[in-house]
Amino acid sequence: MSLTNYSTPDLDNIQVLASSLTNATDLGTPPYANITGFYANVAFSVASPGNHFAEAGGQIIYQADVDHLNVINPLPTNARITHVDMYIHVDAESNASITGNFTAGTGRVTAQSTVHILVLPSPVDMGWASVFSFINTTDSHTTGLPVGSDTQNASVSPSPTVLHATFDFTTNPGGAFPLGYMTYADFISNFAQIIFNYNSLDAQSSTARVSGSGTTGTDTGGCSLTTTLWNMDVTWEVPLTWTIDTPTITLPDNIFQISRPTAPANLQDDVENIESVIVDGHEIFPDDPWVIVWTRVKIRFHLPPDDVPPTPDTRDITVEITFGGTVPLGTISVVPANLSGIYFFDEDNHHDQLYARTTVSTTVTTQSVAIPAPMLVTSFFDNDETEVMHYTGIRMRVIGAGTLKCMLNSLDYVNTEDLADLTLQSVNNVNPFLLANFIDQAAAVRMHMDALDDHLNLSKVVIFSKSVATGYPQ
Amino acid sequence: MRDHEGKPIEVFNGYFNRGDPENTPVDHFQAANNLRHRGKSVLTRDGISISQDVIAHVPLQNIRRIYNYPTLTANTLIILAYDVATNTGKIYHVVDSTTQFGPILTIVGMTDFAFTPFGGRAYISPFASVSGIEKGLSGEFLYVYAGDGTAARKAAGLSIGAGMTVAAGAAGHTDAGLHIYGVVSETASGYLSPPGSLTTFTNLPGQSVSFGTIPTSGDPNVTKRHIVASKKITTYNGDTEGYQLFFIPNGTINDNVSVFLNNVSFYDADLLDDASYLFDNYTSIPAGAFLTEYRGRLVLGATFTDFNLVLVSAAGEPEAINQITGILATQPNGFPVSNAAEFRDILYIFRPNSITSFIDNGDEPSSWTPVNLDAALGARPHAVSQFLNSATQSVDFLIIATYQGVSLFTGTFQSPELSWKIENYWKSFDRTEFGNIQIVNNTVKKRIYIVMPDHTLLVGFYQNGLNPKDIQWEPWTFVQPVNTIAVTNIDEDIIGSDNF
Repeated sequence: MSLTNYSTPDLDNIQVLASSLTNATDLGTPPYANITGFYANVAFSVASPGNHFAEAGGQIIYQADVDHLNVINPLPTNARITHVDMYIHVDAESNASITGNFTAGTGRVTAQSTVHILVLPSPVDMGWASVFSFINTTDSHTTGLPVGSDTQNASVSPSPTVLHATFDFTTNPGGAFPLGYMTYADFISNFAQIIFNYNSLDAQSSTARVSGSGTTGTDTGGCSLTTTLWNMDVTWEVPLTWTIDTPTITLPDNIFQISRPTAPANLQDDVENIESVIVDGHEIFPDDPWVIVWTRVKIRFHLPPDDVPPTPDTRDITVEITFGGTVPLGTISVVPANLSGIYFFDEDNHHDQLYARTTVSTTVTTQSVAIPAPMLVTSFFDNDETEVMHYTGIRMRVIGAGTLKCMLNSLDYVNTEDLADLTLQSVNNVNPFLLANFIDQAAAVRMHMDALDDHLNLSKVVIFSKSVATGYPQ
Repeated sequence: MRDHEGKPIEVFNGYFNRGDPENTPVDHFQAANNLRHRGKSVLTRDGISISQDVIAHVPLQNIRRIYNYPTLTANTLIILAYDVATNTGKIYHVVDSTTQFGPILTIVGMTDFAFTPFGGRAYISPFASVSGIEKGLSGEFLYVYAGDGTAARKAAGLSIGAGMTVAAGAAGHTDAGLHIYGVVSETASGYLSPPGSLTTFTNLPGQSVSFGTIPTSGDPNVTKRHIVASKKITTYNGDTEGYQLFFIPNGTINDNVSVFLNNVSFYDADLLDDASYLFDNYTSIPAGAFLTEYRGRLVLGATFTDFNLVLVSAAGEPEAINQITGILATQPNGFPVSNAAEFRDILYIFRPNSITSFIDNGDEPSSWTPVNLDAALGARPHAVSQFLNSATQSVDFLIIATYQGVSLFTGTFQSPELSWKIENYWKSFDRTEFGNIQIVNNTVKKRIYIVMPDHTLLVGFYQNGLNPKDIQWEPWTFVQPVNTIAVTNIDEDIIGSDNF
């Protein structure tokens, strides 16, 4: 029996009462679309009989693997939901609530996020047992964002073939300076943690208890990623030395990359993928009809009919999947420069000149670095009589050198709009105008500079706005 | 602009952090970093440049504390560098970008030091913070540095050894009868030791006295020795220290080498300059957490064994501290004395949460009456603004960093405080870290610099007025952590940075 007949969710009879879930239809073959915005507490109501599961005892099997899951109850700070299996037991045409197991993993991102909504008939009728889900946690390409790393400055952007991790410490959305600057000390602290976790491995197997009425087995562990191609860019503005077994160091802007062999275009062609799975001696292959998902990071399948106990019974089955191989990233030795010493303020200097003792010796050199993130955020502009304003731009009397980056932001930075970069002139007969199209209750102007020798002399800011609505829709 | 009204901001009054960002006045910033003010404009802050020439010598590193040190001929810097690996603090004297002396003092455990200049010399007291309490290092002392590159030495000193002999000299004049004689040594810094080598001699009528085998001092800093004597003793009880001693006119040996002084004549009526007070002086002055000068007296406080202790020297003699009468009576309140400052001829003793004042009545310090001024606000070490020559007077006020904020002090704390506009910012810091705060005032540039507990700077621009409304606050950050700041050469600002 083909899986596709039942991979199309019958949503006509399911009313989602409280959820922002984006439903997935026929997901086809990998790669799956990313589904985000899933909320754990979802109430379903089931409509009148006539659908597949109107009978008492039917099940709606709701499976979701998401890359970021918001939950109402707070989790430990280093815990993230890597997947959720939930089961709704509908005993009547009535509202049903979700119960199930939430499994906390580590790390922030899984390789891909998928959401399945499978509406299945009673497994007994189909001759299928429950769905067994085994999440690969033994991928030898280890975690991208290990526990304790600075998730505010690191992002992982999975795609079907490329995993790209970017660590940009020149901006720090949640740090001491909103959208601004991270201290050098924070960077060293975060990077040390990243180094510590690069070579960690995790290996697990699991045993699932299966019964005729439906049980799932789950296994969890560290966050795992497809790391067929891994680039890491680090940007920092101070003198550093790096050593790595295959160094690709670029100075003086201190950006370096670590690359691994290019992955095949399709993950399914990956030579390190699993070719088969054996369940109690019964071999399962990727193109078996009862296979739901088969990637390196996740394998999900129904137990073949032959393995379903004829009567409700309980027995243990063992599924073992092992993955082999390692991809060491190499040894990274970070030697921060010793910047300590005595300095004096120089009004004619538009950068900071630092002592740079990057090697253990008596020789001391100097290096110029940009003044860290000169920035300002004005007060909020609003109208006491109007709820919603339209902001069309700002005009400034500003001279200097370099690029001035401006942004309009609402209260709490909920809405923002980046304005065009402004190249400053040392003399200027024109007050530059930056166009905007920003609608919100209030707006502030944020300006900053981030390059060497950038500096500004600001004398006036004019923000242009008008009322567009007396209130937001209720 | 299609009916869009332009709302201008033409005045920039700095950072505002008090309540919700929406409450930020239109002429202030709800967030700011590394800006300065000039007229009505706001600019990127001053850049920093290295202060020491990297070619002339290896620049100092791991800087913990800098003071402006006025010598007899120039404004220089006295600097503490602390090596975490060896837990050792070393003090250097930096004259200019190419000239550096030291280390002039090396002490294990010295993570900070107190300093005050006196007569061109530097008085140094090593201290550390233990469980949030700053006090002098255990087993350490007050040191004096001459400013010439030679190592600093312990202030004060022991009395000279025994061995002097007294005999009748040539024809002359003395009051016949039993007298006690002794020797007082004097160091290059003017410190007078307790009388030593005490011995008795019965003067003969019509004859002078001669002194032989006068002991020399083992202290190489001793430059002079003085002979002291009692007046005629009618009934001697055997206690050579039990009688008042005086400096003998013409009884000075201007070296630490000669071993005799012959044919000295004097009458008892000539003995006017008392030397007995020297018996009770500290021969080694314990280290404290703060130093200051008050009416020509050195003031030191918060020793290791008693953090309530405040010691005051004799006027004009910074190393002469009497162990009995040189103590100020301060009532303990559970917190250590942490700072002191002279203001309008009054000495203010600060604790983190209180202030007590004393006035020099011309008598011994132990007779000065304390007046409790404030039972809520005070100052930690380095939290009272210093200006150029390490004195504290700036026009007519002190600027003090308290737990409440940055305040003007004119005998009482002015309200509201100068940091009213950034109250949330100030109170976001952990009070236990306030020992790291240092405040200095550059009156020429009209800036207040405050080293904050997170090793950044908070700068207050008061070109428009030194009051809570017109002062413009700006946080300044650097790639490296900032530990200390000083103002030297009238208006030159120097910062010292540590390593990570």
